[in-house]
Amino acid sequence: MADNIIIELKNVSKRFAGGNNVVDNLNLRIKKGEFVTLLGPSGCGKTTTLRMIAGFELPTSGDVLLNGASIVNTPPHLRPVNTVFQKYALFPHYNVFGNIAFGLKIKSKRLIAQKRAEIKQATDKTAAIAELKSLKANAKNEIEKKVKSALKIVGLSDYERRDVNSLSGGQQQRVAIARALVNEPEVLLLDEPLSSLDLKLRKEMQLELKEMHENLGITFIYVTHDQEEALTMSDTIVVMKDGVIQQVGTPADTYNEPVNAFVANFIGDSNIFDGVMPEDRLVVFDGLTFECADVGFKKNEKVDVVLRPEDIFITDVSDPAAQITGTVISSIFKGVHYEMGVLSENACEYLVQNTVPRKVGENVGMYIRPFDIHIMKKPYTSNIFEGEIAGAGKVGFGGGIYDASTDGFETGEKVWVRVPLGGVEVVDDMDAGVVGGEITTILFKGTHYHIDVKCGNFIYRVNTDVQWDDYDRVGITINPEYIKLYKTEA
Amino acid sequence: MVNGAKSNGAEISGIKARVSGVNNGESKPKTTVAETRADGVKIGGNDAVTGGSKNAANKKKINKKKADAGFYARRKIGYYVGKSYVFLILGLIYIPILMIIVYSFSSGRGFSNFSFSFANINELFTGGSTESRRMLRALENTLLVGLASSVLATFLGTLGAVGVNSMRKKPREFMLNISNVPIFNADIIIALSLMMLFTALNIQRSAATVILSHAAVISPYVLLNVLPRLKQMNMSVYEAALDLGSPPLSALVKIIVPEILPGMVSGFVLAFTLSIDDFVVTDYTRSNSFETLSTYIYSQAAGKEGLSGALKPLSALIFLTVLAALLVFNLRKNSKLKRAENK
Repeated sequence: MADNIIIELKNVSKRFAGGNNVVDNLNLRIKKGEFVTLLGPSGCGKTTTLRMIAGFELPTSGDVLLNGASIVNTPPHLRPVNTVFQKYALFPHYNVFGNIAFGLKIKSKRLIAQKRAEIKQATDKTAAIAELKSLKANAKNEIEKKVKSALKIVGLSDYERRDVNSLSGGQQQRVAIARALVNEPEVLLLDEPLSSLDLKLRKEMQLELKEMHENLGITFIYVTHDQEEALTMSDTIVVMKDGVIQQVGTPADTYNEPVNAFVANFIGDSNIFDGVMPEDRLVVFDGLTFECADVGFKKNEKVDVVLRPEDIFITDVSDPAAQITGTVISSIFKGVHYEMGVLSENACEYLVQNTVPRKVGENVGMYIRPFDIHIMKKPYTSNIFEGEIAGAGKVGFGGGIYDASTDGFETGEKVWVRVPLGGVEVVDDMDAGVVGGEITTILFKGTHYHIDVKCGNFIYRVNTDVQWDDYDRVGITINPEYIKLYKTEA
Repeated sequence: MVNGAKSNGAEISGIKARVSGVNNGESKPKTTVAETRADGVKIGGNDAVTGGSKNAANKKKINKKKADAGFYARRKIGYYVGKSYVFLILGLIYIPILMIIVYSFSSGRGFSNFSFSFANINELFTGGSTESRRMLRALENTLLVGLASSVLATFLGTLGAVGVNSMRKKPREFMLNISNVPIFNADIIIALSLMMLFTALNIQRSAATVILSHAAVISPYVLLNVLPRLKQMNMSVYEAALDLGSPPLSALVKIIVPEILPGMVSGFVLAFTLSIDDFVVTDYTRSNSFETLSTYIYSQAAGKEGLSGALKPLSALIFLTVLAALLVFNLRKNSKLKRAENK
């Protein structure tokens, strides 16, 4: 194994009592001195991952290595990592100095106790006792010096005697960072440390944290749900969803080359459309054919197409460069640019950013440069379930029993079930469906929505025209004619 | 300069106008609407009018109520019944206590024939008779049992609260219910079962058994006092202490205990008063030679000679001590609140 790996997670899974896997078979290597961000929506397992590195949670299975040695059974107070907590978690009955010196005092006490034990063993006691005395004499000065320098790093010099409750949110956060940094941890863990600060202060602190990271050379592992924060600060971004890593890469990679529609949607604004690749360097979406730079797809392979809103150029309809024509349906001023919605002739909705505003209702032309079109393999094109024939005209799969034509199959036979994305119907009432579940992901695909509905251990993937909300509880029904059964041998 | 002066003047008059408006409002609220209009606040003139009509409507409602004579009669009766109830209860509690205080300065055991003397008080403090010595011994025992058992209960109850707080919801509710059983259960049953336990284990009944039994009965109260404090605590503070290298037990003492100290103190005080009060559990778990005030008084009252005369000044003293403690506590609380407000 390479020497410069400081933290390694090996097949780590975490399951809380009576629940699904919060973290599912996670593998991650973090290099020494790196600024790594775990990024994902709430409930994706990023905080749990961090807490497993800190030692507050035990993994259900798998191993956590620090410098190549397992620390999975090391209690948190013996791990050479320190954490900055989401809500600061300062000790309210200590002042700023007391908070920051907390870890140092424990360390110095431990050193003194160690020395005492050595004295008992030593043959030449006088020398050892002299050492102990100097250690004791220096301890206080040493701690004071370190606290002072830590306060200097976070820009709070001369705040030692202040009551922590009298500090503002930003100052409290700085104290929390100083309290962790002062122990010179090998890894600093930060759990959404800026989430309770206002936007302006947050941006300031982002830059300061990045600067601290560069100056100190400590490995930072940072947890956030804010993609902008992740892009600003990190060397490496780990995008997570449902306890599974989606993509690991530099900020530029994850933004420009997202591996799937979820990453594309989560990081930055984007247009995601269903497309087909008739041949290399050619893609069809919105009923039109575009040149692109991507190769290596099968003939007529279904793909996801990602267009960043700033890469779509708006011109007049009469402009010969215009590839798409449409009507502006919304226009919002965002400070630097206008964000406009354009409905194309084939009723596909584009999100466009431009510094020149167009009026709502105006007909415009749009064009996209070939290298700005990003093509992604579809992770799935239909729902596939393992199933079993439950009786004549009945098949059980995905946590429920559905009506379907079972001609040619026997009761009790195992089958593969295939349901196209458009064949699944979502109903408002959880109990009205064959199975009920919760919407976990929503993607707008220009002409329709793509949603994931999690029903127990099964995920139904659905294309729908209806706009649902995250975490809506819904029921699932499937029209029998969409359910296709296959023999398991095939 | 001139401009400045002018604007100042305008401001002052503005403030005056507002102040006068407030004053009017306080003295006769109905006129405020008219007053603001007179001040030249033209906005919402219509509102003022509608407000007026609303007031009129309210008035009508009140008039209707006035017409209903029964309503007022009923309210009056309720008022007097309520008041007399309060005074009756206060009288029932305080008149006997007052009697005890007054008759502390009378000779003799009973409450007949007040004749002023310090005899009873003398007996209490100089401890002349064997009986008063026995009483003072009982007082000592009461305080000893109270202190020891409430210290023990505070320790146990706090640990219990920390444990219960860290549990998941279902086991937590289960544990809480189990812990609450002694609170709701009849004292006599607990006392009896404790006595049987000591007999079964062949443990000689003594001061120690009384202390242990009291601690067992009163720790649930401490737990209930500490738990809310823990619940409102940010538990990541504890994790932060672990994170900074503090072993779990030291983190508990250094970080959690200071936060829940107020709950522990009030739990301790409650436990102490409960222990001092207790008769049933004490009587069943004590040895014959070990007496607390409650068992002593009981045996006296049941005996041929009746209550000792020195008991009156002693009761009066205990009552006055508690009263003084209560007063000091409340005054301190009030001044604390005021200081907090001033901040």
